[in-house]
Amino acid sequence: MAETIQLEVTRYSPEHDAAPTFQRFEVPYRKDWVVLDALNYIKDKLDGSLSYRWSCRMGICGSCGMMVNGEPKLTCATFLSSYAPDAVRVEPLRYFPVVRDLVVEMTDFMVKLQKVKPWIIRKDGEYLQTPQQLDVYKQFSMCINCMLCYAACPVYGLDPLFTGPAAIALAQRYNIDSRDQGAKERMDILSQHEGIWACTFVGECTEVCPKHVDPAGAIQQYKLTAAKEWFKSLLMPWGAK
Amino acid sequence: MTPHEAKGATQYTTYHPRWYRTRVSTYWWLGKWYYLKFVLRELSSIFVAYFVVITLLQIHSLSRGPEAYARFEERMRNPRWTPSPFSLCCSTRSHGSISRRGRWSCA
Repeated sequence: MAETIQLEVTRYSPEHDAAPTFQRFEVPYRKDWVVLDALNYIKDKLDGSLSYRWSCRMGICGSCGMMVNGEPKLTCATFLSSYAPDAVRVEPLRYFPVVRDLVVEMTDFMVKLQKVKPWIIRKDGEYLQTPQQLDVYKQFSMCINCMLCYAACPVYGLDPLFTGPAAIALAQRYNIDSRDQGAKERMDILSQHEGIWACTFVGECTEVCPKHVDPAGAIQQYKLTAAKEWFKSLLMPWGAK
Repeated sequence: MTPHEAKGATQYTTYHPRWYRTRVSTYWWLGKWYYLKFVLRELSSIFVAYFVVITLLQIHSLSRGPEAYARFEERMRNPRWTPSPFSLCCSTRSHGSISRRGRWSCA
């Protein structure tokens, strides 16, 4: 096995470049190194101007999501050994505007996330919950907002107005939380065309999720809920509101 | 103020860098087998819709009596009207497989 490995990293300087280019770096190959370790090596030893986001290095913060050989990955959980001895291509997350090198602009996601009100809406009372009630939504609460699902979703790429998998999955997480009473408030946002109905069920969001959340499943569940609500409002227009 | 600024569009300044936006290719679905499978699955809906129309026509002709149904059967014997049962079966199967894509763990 070679002692070094090649990394092809996207470089983009808004002051100088019209479009991103690739720069090739040679970094030491170590079996226990992840892609993020290689990027940190480049930053420390080869080129201090390389820009990228990272924080926890343990798959919790969701900051280091990038495209690794064309797949959305958390670079802190993607080992170089999976690609060695071939070169590893590291690009910024697909479908997001690139600010610099591997850093993407994520305001769009943050705005959408806030719109779906991903918090418990409740007027009063104690927040009691049984373990069985917790199990209902627990897997959706594992989302770390890494945005890999957005980078995997062609619908989001083609229609940037789409609310997107993570935001809908998180909304659903609170909708099915027994303590929450805000499902009706979220319905207006989620049942729009840009909400659940824009999803064509490609399913790739679920495949790439590093925390094994199932955003595609959440969207289909919510489609069923929205259709039932619509049908109910049709049958009982006086009781819908 | 330029017309661009008047529209509220993002302007390049020292503190608000110019972003690079990648254009999504028309052929994005050819980039990955998973996406191609998705597009093929969507295309299979044409066969599913065709199957539904044929079934409705069959029911309609059945309701109009034995002669109308015999005429329908005669028409359907023409291979122009009916894709092979195998292709219909494959299409409906592949289209039906969508429910297995998500994990539906909370459903």
